[in-house]
Amino acid sequence: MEGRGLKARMYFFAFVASLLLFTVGLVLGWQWGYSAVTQMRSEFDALSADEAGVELVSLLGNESFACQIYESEFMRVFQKTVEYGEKLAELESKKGKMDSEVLELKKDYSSMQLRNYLLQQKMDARCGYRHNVIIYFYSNENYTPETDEGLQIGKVDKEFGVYTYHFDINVDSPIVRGLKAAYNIKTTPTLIINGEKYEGFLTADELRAILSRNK
Amino acid sequence: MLELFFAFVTIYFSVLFLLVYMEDADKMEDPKPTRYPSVDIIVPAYNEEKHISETINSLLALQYPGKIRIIVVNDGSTDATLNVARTFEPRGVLVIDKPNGGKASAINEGLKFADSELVAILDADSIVEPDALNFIVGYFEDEKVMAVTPMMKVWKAHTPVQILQRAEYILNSFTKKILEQFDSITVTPGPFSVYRRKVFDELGGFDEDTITEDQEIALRIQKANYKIASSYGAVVYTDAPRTLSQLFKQRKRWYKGFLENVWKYRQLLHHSYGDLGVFMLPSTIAVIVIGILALFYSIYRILSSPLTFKINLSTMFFGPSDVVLTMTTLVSFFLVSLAAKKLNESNMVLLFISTLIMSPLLTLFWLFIIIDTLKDKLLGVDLKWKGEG
Repeated sequence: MEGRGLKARMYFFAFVASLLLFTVGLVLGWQWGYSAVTQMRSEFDALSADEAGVELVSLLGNESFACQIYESEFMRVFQKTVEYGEKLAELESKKGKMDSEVLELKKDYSSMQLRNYLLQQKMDARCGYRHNVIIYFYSNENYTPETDEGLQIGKVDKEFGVYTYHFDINVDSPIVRGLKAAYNIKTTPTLIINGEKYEGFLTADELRAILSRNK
Repeated sequence: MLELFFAFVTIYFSVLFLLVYMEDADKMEDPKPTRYPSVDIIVPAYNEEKHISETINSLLALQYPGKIRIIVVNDGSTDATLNVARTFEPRGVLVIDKPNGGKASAINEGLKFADSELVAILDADSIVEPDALNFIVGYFEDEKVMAVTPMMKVWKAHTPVQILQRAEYILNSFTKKILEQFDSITVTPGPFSVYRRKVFDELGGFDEDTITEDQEIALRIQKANYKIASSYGAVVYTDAPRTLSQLFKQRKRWYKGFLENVWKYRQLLHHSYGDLGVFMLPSTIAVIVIGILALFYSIYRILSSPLTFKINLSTMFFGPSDVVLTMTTLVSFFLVSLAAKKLNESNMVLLFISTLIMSPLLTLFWLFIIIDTLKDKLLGVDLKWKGEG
């Protein structure tokens, strides 16, 4: 039988060219990722400064002035923190849960969440507000959309004006360890809703029922 | 990380095809014939009363300088196909009637009456451009060429399913021409593939036991170390399935036939068959498997990623995988646009979107059909061809 041709040279060149394209893509992606982390750090610094500013200004003047500042400025800072959290989650999904830069940013984010929570509690007490507050302990390990409590909270937070503070229990930081000890967190999801602890997954309707009691 | 592997495979094949296209640019044009050999055109017909007049009229309108004879074989139709075909007898069309036995048996019946140098087969639901043969016959001046496939297009794409197939047909015709450079064409489709008459004397007629006789004959020609060429200029229009269920039924036959014939001709997976045996045939099988894996992986990612359904432009972040996947899409788009340009298709965006929809859809079909084939093998069920394209 007469042998047939083999375009071995073409297969090789195609492999080299593909490898080159592929590498350029990866390098561009990493560079982009590096820029994103740098940008996230700058945003975190700016947010921290804003948050400290709100706290300082609320110390000035009388009670009514402090509450006025709290109402106008704290919500703005809180909203920015929520957006920052979404960006961080996106970054985590792209770079991976074990990425050292992501873990560092999450540590910082946990401390910001706690500071926000404490400031909000202090100002609610001073100004006599009864905002709905959820402290949400979660884990990204063994994630399924069916057990994503965050999605359920998202369905009710606007309706009840909920302030939600997220803590990933797998973040290795004194703040998260301290909170886990303070609330005796053993499982996820665990929610502390207006001071009461709820272990396990809650549907949006169940959340609605609990939050309605605060009206 | 799996998506990076899938992306690399896609980039590799796109780049390989582009390199071959660029290196063999001169071979992409149809060769000009120095002579016009006689051609018998066999039209196997089963229940095609609606289409057959158009089919025969398109053949009668062929502007071919050589001698042509049209042979219509009615394969035991239960409608008026035979009567319609007979109205063309006064214009020189030979009409043969036989009991139903399947498309291959109808073609073999027609072959008994064919004595020209070349034999064309035209499905009774297809029509040819008047100059189609002129683009094809030049290839037969290479003595090794035993078959030439045409440029297939979808006839009057009305339904969304037909519009999607339009893109698929264009891409298939484009890649078939590139596969010709690898001597790796593995199907000579029913709509107007042309054969050298002596190939049937040497290798026998169409296999009446297979459900895809056009794949079987192509693999038999490859096994005999002959060439199959592909023409860009010879345009033939075919009636494509209108609905998803019709499409699935058609693909079930095609894909099952592919599996059956690849198994029958597994000896082609050998280095003595050059590119076909070493790379193209194994790659075709590998790409099907990789496609199914990629489909499963995509579904897994959609279900498992916390952010999949949260598209918020303010938080968009592109990681290395995203950049590579974007580049993969761009390389694929470049290949599709090249095909569109080469084959005079103006709506590149529609072509690309159709390709994006068709790829996962056909992969899903493959998955169902592989499972179905395994089930049939276990239950001993046979799939018989009745007349679908």
